[in-house]
Amino acid sequence: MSAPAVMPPIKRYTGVMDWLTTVDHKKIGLMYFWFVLIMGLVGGALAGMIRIQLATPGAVWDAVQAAQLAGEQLPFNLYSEDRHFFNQIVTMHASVMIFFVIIPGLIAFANYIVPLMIGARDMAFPKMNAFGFWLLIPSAILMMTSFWVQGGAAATGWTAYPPLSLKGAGINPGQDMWIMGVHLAGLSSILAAINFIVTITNMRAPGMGWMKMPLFVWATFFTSIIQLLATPVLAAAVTMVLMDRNFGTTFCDAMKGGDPVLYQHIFWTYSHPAVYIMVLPAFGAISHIIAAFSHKKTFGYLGMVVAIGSITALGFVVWAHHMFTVGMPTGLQAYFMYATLLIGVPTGIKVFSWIATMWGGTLRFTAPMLCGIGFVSLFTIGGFGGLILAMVPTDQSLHDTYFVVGHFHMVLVGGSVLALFGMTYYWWPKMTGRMLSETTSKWVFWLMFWGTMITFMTMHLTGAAGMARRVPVYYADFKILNHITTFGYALTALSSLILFVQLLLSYRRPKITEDDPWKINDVQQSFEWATSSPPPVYNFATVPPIPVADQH
Amino acid sequence: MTDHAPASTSAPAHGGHDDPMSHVPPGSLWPLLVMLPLCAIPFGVLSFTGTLKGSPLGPLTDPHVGLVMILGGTAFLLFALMGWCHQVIKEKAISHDLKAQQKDLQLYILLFLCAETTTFGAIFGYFYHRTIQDPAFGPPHGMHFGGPFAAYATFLLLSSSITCEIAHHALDHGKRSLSKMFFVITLLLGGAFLGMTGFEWGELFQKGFTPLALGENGSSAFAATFYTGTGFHALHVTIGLIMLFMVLMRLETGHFQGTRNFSVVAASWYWHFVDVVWVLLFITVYVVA
Repeated sequence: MSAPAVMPPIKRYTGVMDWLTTVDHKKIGLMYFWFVLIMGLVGGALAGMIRIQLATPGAVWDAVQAAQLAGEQLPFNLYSEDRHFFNQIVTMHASVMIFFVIIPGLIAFANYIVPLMIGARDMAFPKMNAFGFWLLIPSAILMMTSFWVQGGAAATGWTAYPPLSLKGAGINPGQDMWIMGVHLAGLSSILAAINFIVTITNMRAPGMGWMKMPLFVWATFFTSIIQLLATPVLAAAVTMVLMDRNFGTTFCDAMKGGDPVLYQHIFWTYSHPAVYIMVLPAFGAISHIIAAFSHKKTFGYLGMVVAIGSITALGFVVWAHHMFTVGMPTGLQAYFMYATLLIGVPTGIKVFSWIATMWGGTLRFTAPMLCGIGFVSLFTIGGFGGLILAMVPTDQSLHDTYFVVGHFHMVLVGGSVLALFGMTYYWWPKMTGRMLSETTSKWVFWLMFWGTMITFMTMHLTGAAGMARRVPVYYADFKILNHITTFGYALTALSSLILFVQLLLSYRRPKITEDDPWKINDVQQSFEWATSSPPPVYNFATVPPIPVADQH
Repeated sequence: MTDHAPASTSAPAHGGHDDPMSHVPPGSLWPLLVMLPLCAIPFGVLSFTGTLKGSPLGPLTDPHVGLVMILGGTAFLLFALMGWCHQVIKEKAISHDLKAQQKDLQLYILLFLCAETTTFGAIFGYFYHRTIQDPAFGPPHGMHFGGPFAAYATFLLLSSSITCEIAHHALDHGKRSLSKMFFVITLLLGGAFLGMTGFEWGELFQKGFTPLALGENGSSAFAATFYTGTGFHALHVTIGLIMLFMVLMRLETGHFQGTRNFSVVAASWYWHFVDVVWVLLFITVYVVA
């Protein structure tokens, strides 16, 4: 193909303007990545504030109140306002971690890696891609500044259940700001999802049929379908609350003929599929990492694809297992219980396939591989907790206890976050052209692994013993368990800080020259190792050759 | 906001004798510029409604600043959106991967409509769930709407879908003046529909059936659903009319020669979608209720 006859010279920006105007999926991916790292520290700090309060049964407030009664001035009076502040921290920790860390974190890698994997030069809609990233910034600003408005930030938990989220006594614009922040983050999600689906459908290199697509691409594709179909439902749910709060409608206000339980149904119609938005890309990436460092092709490719697809489909029809205690008919409860347990089947297929991939392989225990194995172990443990919670009778006794908190943190931190660490270690050489120190990386992994294990396994026990979630004070019986949990938190925090500093300092390390620093391209099905590290702005000068692993 | 394809980002060129840099689209400041008012407007609304009084957010505590932010933000948003569209149209004029782009854009608008469908789905879901569960969920006593009036409105909107299709078809066959005429008819029919919705709302408001709380039972939630459903649909009709109007203006300036007519396809698909949603909404709020 020859260039057209008349081609005006393209204006190129440099320096800061280059980043502000970029439409390059790789630069946008890196911007997503650094945004996520910074928001991760913010979310982690919020978690730290929770853990400081919960470290001891009565903790900080009692000390503060005693001091205030005695007329002393405290240098650190963060909690002196009232216990309402604790609810704000809990809500914002969840919102930041979900909307600004895990979901965009996985999008960051999908943005960088998916076009490379399928041999495309960019996403289908590069400007839309940039817009999707920029939208996260007003969203984050809205949510974070809400701490300083009257009544503080949203304090209803990230689920914003009415009537708690409706306008009670006094104004709390923080809830409205939270809702608008969710709208903007949701729009960003939808735009990214459309972009990924179009890119993956139309822009694969010649010769890469659907069933030759790398698993990470499949995972991104299905994740995008969930985002596309579920996110508008969340927008509708929170808009109902917004209208009830400000325009006098009565969608959710039971006092005026509304139906608060129906809000929960609509909310979880989004938010249960959203759970899979937060883990499916991790599934895909872990398949690559485990195959690469076992030096084998992924075991059971077809099974893996079908499993991701069926998790996507089932994810849409199980939402009410979050609501077993709202008073649903028994028949419905039974349906949601069995449908939820059914998800264990495709998830089991994936876990067995990962183990079978390692079986008989030439294992190399690099940092990304450790994160991969850690992911499989912790996600499986977290998943078992999910099976326990899926049963109606056990759920009814464990609902709203720390068992639930332990369960979803085990799958999100032990699953998604550990996978994000693994993806960082695996693709950082490709993204920046710099290797990371294996020793430091392994320290980060082991701290994170044991930190997660200690923090969240203990939470399961605390919950089974009967401690309610979202409470700032508790009976002294839970004291030891909470000490241990806070200690575990310190390990995960240390691990994250080391990772942050390690990535910052990595820009001073020497550049690598290989396209394939891990020496794995012969077992990979994807194109990203067939271009330089980091790739040129156009990714590939010519059509990349079909990957070696596909040629037989 | 529908067609954002840049010049050539599709699969790499075969052969590899041309300069790969020529396929790299130029940077664009517009995405960032569209983001800025989206940050300013929410804060403007909060400030204008006086909810930020007493917070340490400096000038934002003054409602006048809020008003400036809303008005200025909206003006800037329109400016930035137009700048974005302008750059896209300019880039498309020199693009050499037109066919691939059209394919991308068609899938884009289809997926966008899927997302829209689920949004409406949430409203319908709310309506039917309440109708089945709660016998009190229905129009408040004396709230009369629909009837032949709504049927006429439906007839107008359905025929506008047909005229839109005729206009699109005429353009495909190069009959530009016929196409323009039918786009004008479509716009008029759509505008008439919007007017009728507004008229019906006005009548109900006059009788005191405002969207605000209407008593303490299911009928007030019904009113909320009724106004949200029809209002959200009217918003979509407005967006569709703006799209059709832009198509008409671009036809007037001589765009859409040959096969470069994605905006026409997008606008007409969107218009048909709005139509289908109306039929469902009509059945839901006028027939079922």
